[in-house]
Amino acid sequence: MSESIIITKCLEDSAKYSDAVIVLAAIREILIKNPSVGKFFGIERTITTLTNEKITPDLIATYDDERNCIFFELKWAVSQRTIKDELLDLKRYFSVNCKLNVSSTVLEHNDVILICHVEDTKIVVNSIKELTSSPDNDFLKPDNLAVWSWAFIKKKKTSKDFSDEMRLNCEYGKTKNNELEKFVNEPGGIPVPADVLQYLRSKFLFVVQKPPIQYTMKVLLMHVFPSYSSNLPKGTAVDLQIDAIYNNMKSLFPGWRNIDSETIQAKKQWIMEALYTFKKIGFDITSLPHPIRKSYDEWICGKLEKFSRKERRYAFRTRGIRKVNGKGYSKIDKYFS
Amino acid sequence: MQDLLLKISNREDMDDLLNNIYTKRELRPLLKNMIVLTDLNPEQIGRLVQDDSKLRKKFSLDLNKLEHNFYRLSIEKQISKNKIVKGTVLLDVKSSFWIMSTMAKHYLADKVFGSLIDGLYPKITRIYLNYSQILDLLEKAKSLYQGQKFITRFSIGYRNGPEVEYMILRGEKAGDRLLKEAREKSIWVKKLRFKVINQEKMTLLDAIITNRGFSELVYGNFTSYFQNVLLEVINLSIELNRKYEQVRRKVVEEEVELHPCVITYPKPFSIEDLKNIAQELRSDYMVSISHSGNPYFSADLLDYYDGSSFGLTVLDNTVTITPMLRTTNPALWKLAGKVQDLLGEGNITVI
Repeated sequence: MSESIIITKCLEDSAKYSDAVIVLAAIREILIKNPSVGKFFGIERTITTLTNEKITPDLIATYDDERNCIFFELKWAVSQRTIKDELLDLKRYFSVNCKLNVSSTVLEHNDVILICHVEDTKIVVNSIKELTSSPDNDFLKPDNLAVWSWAFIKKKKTSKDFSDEMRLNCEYGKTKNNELEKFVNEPGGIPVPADVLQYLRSKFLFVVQKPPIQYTMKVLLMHVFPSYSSNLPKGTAVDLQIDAIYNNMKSLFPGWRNIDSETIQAKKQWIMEALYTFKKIGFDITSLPHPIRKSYDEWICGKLEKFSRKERRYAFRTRGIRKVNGKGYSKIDKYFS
Repeated sequence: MQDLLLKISNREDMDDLLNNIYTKRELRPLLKNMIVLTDLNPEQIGRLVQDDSKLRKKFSLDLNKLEHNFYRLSIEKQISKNKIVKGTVLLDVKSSFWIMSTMAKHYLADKVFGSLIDGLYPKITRIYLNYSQILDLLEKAKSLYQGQKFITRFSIGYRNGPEVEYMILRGEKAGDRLLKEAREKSIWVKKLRFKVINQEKMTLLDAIITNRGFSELVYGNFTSYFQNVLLEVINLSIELNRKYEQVRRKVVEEEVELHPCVITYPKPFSIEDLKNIAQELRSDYMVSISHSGNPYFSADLLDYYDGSSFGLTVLDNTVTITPMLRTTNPALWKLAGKVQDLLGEGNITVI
C-alpha cells in the first residue's frame, strides 16, 4: 500500500470513530427527547441474567414499563474478515432472561439493533444473509435483528445553500417496538438533533468499541496532555501515571459511571497502547508539536506511517525458498507416495 | 510629548495633565488606551518577560509604582540590531483589567506595546467587543451625555464571497444602519468614532473605540472620557467575562454538564464562507478536523499557549464553542475573537 493510501485510511478511521461518537450521543438524545419511543436506561451498563451471565450492550433502552428493552450495538468499523464472527457474537443478546432493576419484572422480550456506517451496511447485510442460511443462526433473521446505518446527507435549503444533516436509517430487519419502527421508517429516517452535531458530540469522546490508536493519541494530545505539560520547561521528565491519566479523562468515556473494574482496565489498556506508541515514535509531551500546515490527525497519521515504514525497513529479512522447477528441492508429496 | 507621562506621579496628576492637553486646540499625539484582561500583579510583568526566552531578547522593562494599583511602565524594544524604540505606558489596574495609556505614536502603541501584550498571552489577553457591545457602549455614552448631539462613524468590514470589503456608516442613523447591515450579512466593526457636541456646537468629546479594546482620545476632557468610555468598556468586558466563566465542562453528581458558548448569525454559512476556516485557525491553534465545512464544520482545537481545548462546530447559522477538560477565560476571549474575526460578529449566548 502506498504512503498516501495508508495515511488516508488512518484519517478515515479516525473520522469514522468521531462519527460513531455522534451516533451514540444521538441515540441517547433521541430517547431522552422522545420518551414514547423508549426510555434511556444506560450506556455500557452491565446486566446480569438469571443464569448469572453478564452482558454489556453499548446502549440499553426500555419500553412498555420496562417489560421490553432494546440493546443497541454500535460498530464504527466493519471488516469483511471479522464481521461474521462479530455477528455470531450477538447471540448473547438474544432471549436474555433478566431483570433490569431489582424492582422490575423479568424482561418479556428484547430487541437488538446493530448500527454501522452506511458504507458498511452492504457487508453486514450480505454476511447476515449468508449466516441465516444455517438454522443455528435464526437469531439473525429480520424478525429478530435490525441493522441501522448512519450517514451525512446534504439537504438543499435554497438554490445556492446546502445544509448537512446526519440521519439514521433502517437497512435490515425490525424491532417489536412499533413507535420506534414508525419513527425510523419515516421518509429519510431519523434526523440527528442539531444540538448533538453542535455540542453534545463533545460530551463524550469515545464509544464502547475500541478506537483506532490514532484516535486515542489525538484525544490524549489535545485534551489530556496540555494539563500536564503547560508551564513545564522543554525536556522536563513527566511522570505519567496511568491511573491519574484515566481519572483525568474518565468523564470522556460514555459509561464511566457504570463500568466495572474489568472494563476500566480495558480502557486503561487503550491509553497504555497510545502511550507506548508515543514512546515508539519518540514524542516528548513537554514540547507539544505545533504543526501549522497539518491538522493533528494528519500529523499523527504521518508519524505512524513513517514509523511503520522504518520498522519494515529494519525488520529481520527472511529469504523466500527459491522455486526451482525440476531440480533442487524435491516436492514434499514425493515422500508420501 | 512622551516625556510628559514621566512627570505624572499619581492619578490626580494624570487627570490634570491630560485634561489640560486634550482640551486645547493644538497638534499633539492622540491618547491611546488599551484595555486588557489579566489577573496579574503588574509587579510580576518584568519577571514574566525575563522568563520567556523570546521576549527577553526583544524587551526591556522598567516599572515604577506610583500609587496603589497605578504604575508607570517604560518599555524598550529592540527592533533591529542597531535600533531600539522606547515608550512609556501608564498602567491603571481595575479588577481583572488593566487600562494602559500612552501618548506614543501609532506604530509604537500597536507594534511595541501590542506585541508585548500578545507575547504575554495567556497571562494578559486582549478583549474583543462585537458590534452589539459597541452599540451598547454608544447607548450608555448617550445616556451619560443626555441632551447632547452625537455624531457617529462606524468603519465596518464584511465578507463578500471570498473577499473582505469595508464600508463607512455615518450620520445620525448610523447605529440603525449598522443593525440593518448586521441582520443582512456577517459584519465586524473595526472602529467607532464618535463626537459629542453640546447645544453651543462645541465639541465635548471626540473619541475612537476599536473592537480589540483599543481606544483613542482625540479631543475632550480626560476625566469624563475615562469615566464614560474606558470604565464603560471595562463594565461591558466584566459582563462578558462573567458570561465566559459559565462556559465550562462540569461533572455534577457524576453527570457531565456542558455549557457551550453559542454565536448566532443572521444567515446560514455557505461552503464558500467556511472554505478557509481550517487554514486560518491553524495559525493559532492545533486543530483536528472531523468535518471540514461542507457546510458542516466540526473540529477540536487546542490553544497551544494556554492548554485549553474546545470543540468547535459551524452548523447552519450557528457557531458553537464547546468547553473540554480544561477551559480558561483568556482562551475563550481569544477564540471568540478569532471566530468573529473570521466569520463576522454574531450574538453571543451561553447555554
